[in-house]
Amino acid sequence: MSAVVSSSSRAFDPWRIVGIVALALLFVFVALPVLALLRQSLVGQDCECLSVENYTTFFTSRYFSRALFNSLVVSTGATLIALAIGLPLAIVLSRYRLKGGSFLKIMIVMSMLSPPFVGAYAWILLFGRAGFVTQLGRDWFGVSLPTIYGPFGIALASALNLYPVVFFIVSGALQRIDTSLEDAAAGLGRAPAAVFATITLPLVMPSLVTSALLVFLGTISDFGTANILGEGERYPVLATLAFALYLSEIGSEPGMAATTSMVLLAIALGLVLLVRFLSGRRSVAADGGQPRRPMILGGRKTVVVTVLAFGLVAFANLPLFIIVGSSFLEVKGAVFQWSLSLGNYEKAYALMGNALLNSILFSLQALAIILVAGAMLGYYVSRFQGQLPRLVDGLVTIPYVIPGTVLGIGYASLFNGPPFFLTGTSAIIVIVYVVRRLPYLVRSSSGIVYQIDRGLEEASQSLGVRPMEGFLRIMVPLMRPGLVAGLIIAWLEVFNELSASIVLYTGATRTLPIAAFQQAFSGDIGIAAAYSSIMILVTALALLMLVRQDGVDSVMR
Amino acid sequence: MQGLERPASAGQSQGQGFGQAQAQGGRPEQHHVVIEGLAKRFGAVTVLEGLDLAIEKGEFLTLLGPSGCGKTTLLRIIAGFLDADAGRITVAGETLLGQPPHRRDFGMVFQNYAVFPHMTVFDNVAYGLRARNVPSADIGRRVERALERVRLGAFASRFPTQLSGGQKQRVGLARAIVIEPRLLLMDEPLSNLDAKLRIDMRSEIRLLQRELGITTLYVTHDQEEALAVSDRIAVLDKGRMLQVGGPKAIYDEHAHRFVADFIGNANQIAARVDGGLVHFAGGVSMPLPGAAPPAQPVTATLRPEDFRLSPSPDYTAALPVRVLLVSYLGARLRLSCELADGASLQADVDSDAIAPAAGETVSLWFNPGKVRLFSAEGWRV
Repeated sequence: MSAVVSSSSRAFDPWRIVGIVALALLFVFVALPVLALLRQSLVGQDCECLSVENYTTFFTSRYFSRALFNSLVVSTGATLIALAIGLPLAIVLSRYRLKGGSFLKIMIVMSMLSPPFVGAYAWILLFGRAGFVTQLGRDWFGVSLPTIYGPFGIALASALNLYPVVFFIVSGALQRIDTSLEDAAAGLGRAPAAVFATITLPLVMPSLVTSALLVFLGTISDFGTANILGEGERYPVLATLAFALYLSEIGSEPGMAATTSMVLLAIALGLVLLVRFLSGRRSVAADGGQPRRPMILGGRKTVVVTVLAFGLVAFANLPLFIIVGSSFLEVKGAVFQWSLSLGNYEKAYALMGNALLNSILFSLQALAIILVAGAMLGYYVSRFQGQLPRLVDGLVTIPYVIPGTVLGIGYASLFNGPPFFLTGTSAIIVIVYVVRRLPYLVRSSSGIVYQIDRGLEEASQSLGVRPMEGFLRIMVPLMRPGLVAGLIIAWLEVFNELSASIVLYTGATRTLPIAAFQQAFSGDIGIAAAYSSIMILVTALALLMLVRQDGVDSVMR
Repeated sequence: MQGLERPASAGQSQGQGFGQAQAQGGRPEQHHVVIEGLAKRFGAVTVLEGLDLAIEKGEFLTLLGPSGCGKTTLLRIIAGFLDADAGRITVAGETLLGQPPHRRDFGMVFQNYAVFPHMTVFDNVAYGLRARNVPSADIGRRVERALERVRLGAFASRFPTQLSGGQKQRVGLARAIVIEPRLLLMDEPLSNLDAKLRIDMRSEIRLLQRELGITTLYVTHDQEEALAVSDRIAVLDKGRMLQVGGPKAIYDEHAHRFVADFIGNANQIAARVDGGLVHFAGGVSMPLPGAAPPAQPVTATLRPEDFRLSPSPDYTAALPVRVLLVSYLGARLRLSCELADGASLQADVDSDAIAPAAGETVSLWFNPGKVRLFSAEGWRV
């Protein structure tokens, strides 16, 4: 008649299956490659024994420690520059109503359109040895400009690509501040500057630190920019070194690529944990309260602020225009001529092979998986409690901080043999895209799930609808803004992915970014410009389609 | 049904609820909903300990208690969103064992409405009917009728963002009743509404419930609301059922000191029962209102409105107090006083009376028949 109610008697839970499958896949595609690298790095040079010999070599040899030092210098520099651009822009745009403010925001999004190495390449076109500006200075004014090659150039190119991260994260935080706090401080007799320093800045500090961390991680794990502006071996950083060592591994010192990768990973993970430790204790997130309405500045001030803001963003967008513009110039003997031509595109088309098609196909496949898996896992990790969801959450987030080159090397060495045999297939490229960018969608969808009242699903269930059906009919429509926002970022990153795919591609699975990078690094400057322009165009078109769906504001969030 | 074997007084008051069928007896099939020995712990915290409750068909039963007393947990276990550690629940003789929420056929109304924001009012109300594969012609008719009942007939094509809080909750109500549930669960449905609307809506809910005859379990922390709408009230504290009874029984014949305090803020006065007399601190005694219990220290309760400043045929006993503060509350004067043992006491007297001054010592007269005595454990003696 009646019996004891207990959880063990519950009908089967489909979300548990989702969790278990996700855990298994993440273990194979996230944990195993890293563990494989760790194992390789701990094998001695002369014996098959456990040894820290590689690490001793790494930290004692000048060759390796120079790369470590360079990486830290470049990443710190890029972080500082990105903060110096992103923070003032965020303050100005969230506090004042500027003419063309939304246009400015679109331009800031455009700065992210191209992968950083394309930006790097554009700076070379301008300030490189045969650059437009360099030639101009030398031929017309007899001045030799400071070199763009080396640490400053790498830091600048990275920062100009990554400052939107600072801008968007800090803007979001500024908008969430309860204005009554600032009003209270002003009411207590603080001048605006003092209010900013004592109230506003401390409140956005966690976001500022987070964005700084993302810029640092983005720079230290970026392979393309450092390789182009550091000219490969001349200014080695960890990411380029790992790649070079991986390519030449067969001969000299096996395990050193893995060791370099592990050092890179350790820095990234260490920083993330440090930031989490520092900001974890004092959460100052203030939701609710009145959103601040942008103020209208007085006449002259508006002009100054507007011109400065637009100037800054235009400078950051310079690479975009340089690349697209120069792609239509004729090239003779590796020098651009002042005459228009479609010759670069003709040559590019002839040499392209499957690159563009591959890029589009792989990206679409990856995005489809990222969308479905991201929506489900974002929901799963934010709605369910216990070991399994926490483990899935942790594993899915780790690739966020694994430098692409490291993941690529891990995949190459693990999936080469049985039982996987994935090396050289298009599947491995798609998988690496998914694994690297799934965190974006899991984060953005779980972020929005937290904001959706749990009662909605309970209402659905109490009305007789099965949990999975309720998820589709209630949660998915409500999660849409978060999914679209995540999808946009994922698209930018997937279509332009270079760091991992350059380790994993073969002739048949070459993608457009790889083709562009190869031409930019050691090929035809005109073809490189043409490839890069096509990448920018495809990215921008896809972005437009998505933004049309949900308005610019979903990108801002 | 061990809860009913609690101190006798708890059981006594149980039967006094407007002639409702008594919850005792070993034939749970007769009750619409039977809850037996329900227990729930969250880690080291016991939220519900061995709770028993029976709900009759068509009855409006309210779970009343302060926040953290376990009332919402109990509701969520019944709804199926939480699993109990032990105990059983049956509805119409059918066990809820292992039934997920979507198979229980209970309507639920939520504190924060939980109206689907991406659906129109019509689609919200039709949601549960569509899940039951009701033919679409019937859906239209039933949704319309449900919306009429909650006076939202003209709002069918609106989206929830265009509705006020009270209207949203009406959508929630229509959505829950349209499926003609076996049991309607309401989790503090009015606590997000402002005071005036709360009073209007609670009568509306009560009328609707009676009209449709839906068995309803209602959760609130608002004692006035509970008294106003319920057939019976179950008072919970710290996961224990202290008293189940009709509003009048709950208000007048408290089974437990906590109920006296929670419902009507009764003053608690330290006293001692001995030789057929109640001795208050400060040397005042009065004869016992009922049969003499064994000698023991007790807590006596009297409501603020039980006091007067002068004796009368019923008001035959008095407590000497020192007045600390006199507050004017319109119809009443609230005297904040201090007893001889230093304990504080509130008395509401007629504002026409000559108000004592602060610092003055006065006698507060009361009817000994209004005094309730509770043992050291809190149960009625």
